Amino acid sequence: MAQAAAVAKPPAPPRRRRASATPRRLPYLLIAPAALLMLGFIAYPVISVFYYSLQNYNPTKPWRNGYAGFDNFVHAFTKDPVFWDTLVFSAKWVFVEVGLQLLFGLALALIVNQTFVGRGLGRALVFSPWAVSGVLTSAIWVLLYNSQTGITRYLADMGIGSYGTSWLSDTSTVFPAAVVADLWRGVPFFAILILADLQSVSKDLYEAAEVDGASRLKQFWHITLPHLKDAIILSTLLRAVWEFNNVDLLYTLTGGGPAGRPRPSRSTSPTHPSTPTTSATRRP
Amino acid sequence: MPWPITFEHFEKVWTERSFGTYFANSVLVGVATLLMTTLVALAGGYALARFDFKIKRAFMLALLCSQFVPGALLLVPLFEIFAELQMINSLGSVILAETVFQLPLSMILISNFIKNVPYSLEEAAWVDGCNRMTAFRIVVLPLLRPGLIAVGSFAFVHSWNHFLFALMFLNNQDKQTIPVGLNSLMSADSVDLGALAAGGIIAAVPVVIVFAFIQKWLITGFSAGAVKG
Repeated sequence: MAQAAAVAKPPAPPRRRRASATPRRLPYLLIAPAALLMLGFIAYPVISVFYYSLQNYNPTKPWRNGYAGFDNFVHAFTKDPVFWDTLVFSAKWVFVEVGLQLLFGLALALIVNQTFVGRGLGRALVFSPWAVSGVLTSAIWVLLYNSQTGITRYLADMGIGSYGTSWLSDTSTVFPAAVVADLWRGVPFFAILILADLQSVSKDLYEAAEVDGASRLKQFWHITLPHLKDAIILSTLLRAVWEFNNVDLLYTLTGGGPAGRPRPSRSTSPTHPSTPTTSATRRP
Repeated sequence: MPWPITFEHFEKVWTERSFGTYFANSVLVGVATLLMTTLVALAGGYALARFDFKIKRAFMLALLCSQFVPGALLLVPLFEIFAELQMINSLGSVILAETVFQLPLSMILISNFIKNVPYSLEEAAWVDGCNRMTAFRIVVLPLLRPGLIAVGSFAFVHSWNHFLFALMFLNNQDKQTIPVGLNSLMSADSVDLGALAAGGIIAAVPVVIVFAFIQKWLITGFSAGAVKG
């Protein structure tokens, strides 16, 4: 592009030289702030995590500090009773969450892509949970699951179940309860991405299919779904990583387990290392 | 349904439970993160969209990889860095950490927005005697406005909602942010449901307003930026 500019301005004024000389260094100058920030606050911490993982480091036993080899990993894999539990739980969590989110997200995107009265409002309603934080999601669902104010009380009023049931403090119901709470927040992500991609499906394709006598289901299967393939793969991958790293909702909703007892099998891997230091702040 | 209606919980949460302070802190963190993220990502995004340079591919790869680094993994080293910089208990630590984690995605989005602005527009401005900076300011920047609004709002909403960094790096009560305050309402000895609901509404109002405002840019922003990448 320096060429184009040079051709366009043959009687080069003094400033011309600088403008054509800068571009070589300019891109580096432009990415420098971002690169420095990321080196300092992502790359360096990642490296130091690897370094610490090979060290004995315990402020209360300083005489044992030093190189540990793979002892920490061996300990985690073989001796740590919660490690495998949390890993299995994480896998289950990601699988169930991402699968259901994709399903509901796709359905919602297809619905709000139709033209109907109040579509703007409908879209806003579908998207709004995504704007809400994990902690606030927990607050909402703590209220909804509360035995006094929540769903179970109204169900009990109608004769279903019994009064005083709290799904969050029962080991058999806490997992589905947490899944539903996170679905509420996670579905809009898929809905937004899929809806955005739906905008670019050519209307002609549907018209052509219509002419050929394809049913709505066939149109969906042979036109819509193949078109959405890339977006679905991308968002599923991203979401799987994010769900695997999910901390805030599970941590604040269950504190690692029903009734605040750190029940490691109920927490995902990322919440596990933080449990000992932070469980003190949980409700008793 | 409980009756009558009362606003007493809002008053109590705002003053006694310090949500007024939390709110101010969250606004400060959100706005500072928004400004820093947008500025740094704009500079980097322009470089990615308009130049070919040696480390471009490596840099793009680093941006993508950073998306897969969980924040929780880096808590310990980040804590050490901020302790070294004397930034524990200052909002600066949270602002820096939020900005860094917002940057990669913001930069990729912005560079895609810039790619959608024809380069010939800028070249035409140079021909008319603008230098690169002026051309960018008067030709490209106005066209980027929807994209910048979307990216900036994301940065704001994300840092407004984010819990972990504020929980870990801020210990003083008068430095806490809204999500941490909300969590403390839930972990109080007996959950005060009225206070929790009031706190939740205080936490939700700003983001709901922001999202209602940017909703129409969101779809176009995403279809131009992320998915078509």
